[in-house]
Order: sequence, then structure tokens, then C-alpha cells
Amino acid sequence: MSKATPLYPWDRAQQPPALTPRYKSSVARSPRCALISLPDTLSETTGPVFGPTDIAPGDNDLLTNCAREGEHPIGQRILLHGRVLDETARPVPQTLVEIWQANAGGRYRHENDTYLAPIDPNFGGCGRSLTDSAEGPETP
Amino acid sequence: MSKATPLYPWDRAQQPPALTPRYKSSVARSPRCALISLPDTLSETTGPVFGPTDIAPGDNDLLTNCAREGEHPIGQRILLHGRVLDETARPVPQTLVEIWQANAGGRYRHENDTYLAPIDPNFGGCGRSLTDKDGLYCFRTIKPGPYPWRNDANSWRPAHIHLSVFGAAFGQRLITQCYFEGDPLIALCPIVATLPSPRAIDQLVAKLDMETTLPFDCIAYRFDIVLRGRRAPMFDP
Repeated sequence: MSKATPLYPWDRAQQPPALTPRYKSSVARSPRCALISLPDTLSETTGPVFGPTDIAPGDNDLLTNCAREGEHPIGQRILLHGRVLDETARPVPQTLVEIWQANAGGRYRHENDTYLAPIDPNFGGCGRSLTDSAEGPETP
Repeated sequence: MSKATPLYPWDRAQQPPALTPRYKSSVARSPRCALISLPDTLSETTGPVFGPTDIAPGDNDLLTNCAREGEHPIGQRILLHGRVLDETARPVPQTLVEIWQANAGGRYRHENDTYLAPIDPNFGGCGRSLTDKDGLYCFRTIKPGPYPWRNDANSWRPAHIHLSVFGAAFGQRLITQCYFEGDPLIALCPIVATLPSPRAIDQLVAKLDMETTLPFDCIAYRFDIVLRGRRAPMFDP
């Protein structure tokens, strides 16, 4: 399959509408005009391309990637895993998956988060991973 | 009502049987002989009696009762509250409610707990409280995490808090656990599975309580507790 093959359009019936007033901040940022359909351009269908050199070993282990030597963050130890497929059920190999999250108490390590639950000194809350090629996922 | 009024017998249809082999450690400790029914004695129907002098302010706040000055444990901030009633729906006032629990990662601060989740230096995991005149109690704590245990090869306890409630007399004392609404591990737990009915399980599940939840602070869970009832006196002079 050529990388420049056109993508399917978004299935908007499966996505939330942009304007959902009960989610208040959607009001100010949702479009006021009808959407314009634009064809994909080459830069949208050919890249970026990531590879193993873009991530470091341990980037997918949030128990250690921001912890002091020999320590771990506090909270339920979990593995989050799955498979990345496209709409035609083809596996998507070597693609960059990034995650970010709050700590066990619901506090992000971010200056805009003022919730009174404490920061965990051993938890950053960010990680990344490449999907595998064929032989099975990389486990922390 | 006299304190020596006899207690109702346990409703064994609502309690798990003593021998439940899927919960392996029940096998060694369950009776091998038929039970013998003994009448309550005076010491079981009259005490112990606790009062405000038995607890200190802050004993019901697990966010601070073991934390360093100005620090808090890590984990979901919750209020666990409810009412202690007896089987006749009378509130049980001034009764001692004690709780103990693992930290946010499912680790107890106990030398026998070797799970690899770390200890939280700011969390002890024990608290106590007296119910008020209406039987209400309240704790502030963090929501405990699930933890693995050696029953099957891959058994995990659902998140839970242990409770001991004394009631007005030792014969009413109840040791129990509360789980949290929505936890998918409840349905998989061999200990929960010893309960005889879905209703009995539901009674051990604390419910999300948005009315008591403190905005921008603490989510509340409601857990009501029912102790053995007591026969009313035959004559009320």
C-alpha cells in the first residue's frame, strides 16, 4: 500500500459533535460556520514517520521513567495495552503512541493543576511507545 | 430499653457459610462439628461501652492522622460515611467504628505485607470514630487500591476498607469490609463469592454519593451498616 493512498474521511457519526453545551468549554471553541471539506494533502498522508531511534528504552514504563532510583510512584500498578488497527483491521506497526495522565490522587504534574491532592515525587505521568512490527509488543 | 434485652440471633441466611472451599483459607478454620447454640451471657449484651474520651480529634481523618506536617497521602481523596442501625432500624449512637485499609497502591503498612507496591510515608491506614446521636459516622481517607493475594494463581482483592463496629454490646460486634461501586474485581473475588445472595453483596458495596461529595476536594461514598437487633422489653413500666 502506497503511503500516499487517500485516507477514509472521518466517520463523524462516531465522533462527538464539536458543540456540546453541557461540556461548557466546547461552546467557545466550536465552529460557528458550516465545515469546509478539504482533500488531504501530501504532508498529511505521508508522514511523520517514527522509528526505534525516536524513543528510549523505558519510555513506556511510567513506574520508573520519572522515579528516583529504587523508588516507585504510589498507586495501583497496571499494564495498559492493546492493538492499533486501522478501519480495515490492518495492524499499524511502528507507530508512536504517547500517553499522559494524572497520578493516583488525580493530580497532574502541571503548573495549571491546582487540585489539592499532592504531587507524587516519583511520577511524571507521560510515556511513549512504538507499536511493534510482528513479534509482539515491547513490555516494560 | 434495658441494655440486657436479648439480641436477635444472627440471620445466617445473610452471612456466608464458614466452609467455602473456593476461599481456601476458610477450609482450615471452619468447624468440623455441628454448631452448639449458646444463650447470650450478660457480658455479651451489656458492653463494652465507649465514649468521646476514648477517641482523639482527628482519629477519623486518615489524610492527616499519620502524615507529616503539611503533607497528605497520595491517592483518591474520599469521604466514607453512613449510618449504623440495628435490625429494627434504630440508630446506634456513640458506638465505636474502626477502619483499616491498604494505601492507594494496595499495600498495607504491616510487616507481613510484601507486595511490591510502595508504602506511602504519609499514610497509616487506620482510623476510628464514634457515631453521633443519629448513628452517623464519617471518615476522610484515600481510596485503597486492589492487591494480589495467594488464593488462586491470579487472585486480586477488589478495593476495600475493613470495618469493626462494636454496637451497644459485644454480641452486636460486626467485622466487615466495604467495597466500592463499579469495581469490576468485586465479581471475580473468591471472598465476595462466599456471600449467599446478590443482595448480601450489594449491601457490602459503598455507593457513590454526589450529594455529600465536596466540590474540588473529596468524592463521597455512602456505606450504611446494620447490626443485630434487640428484642423490645416485654413490659415497659
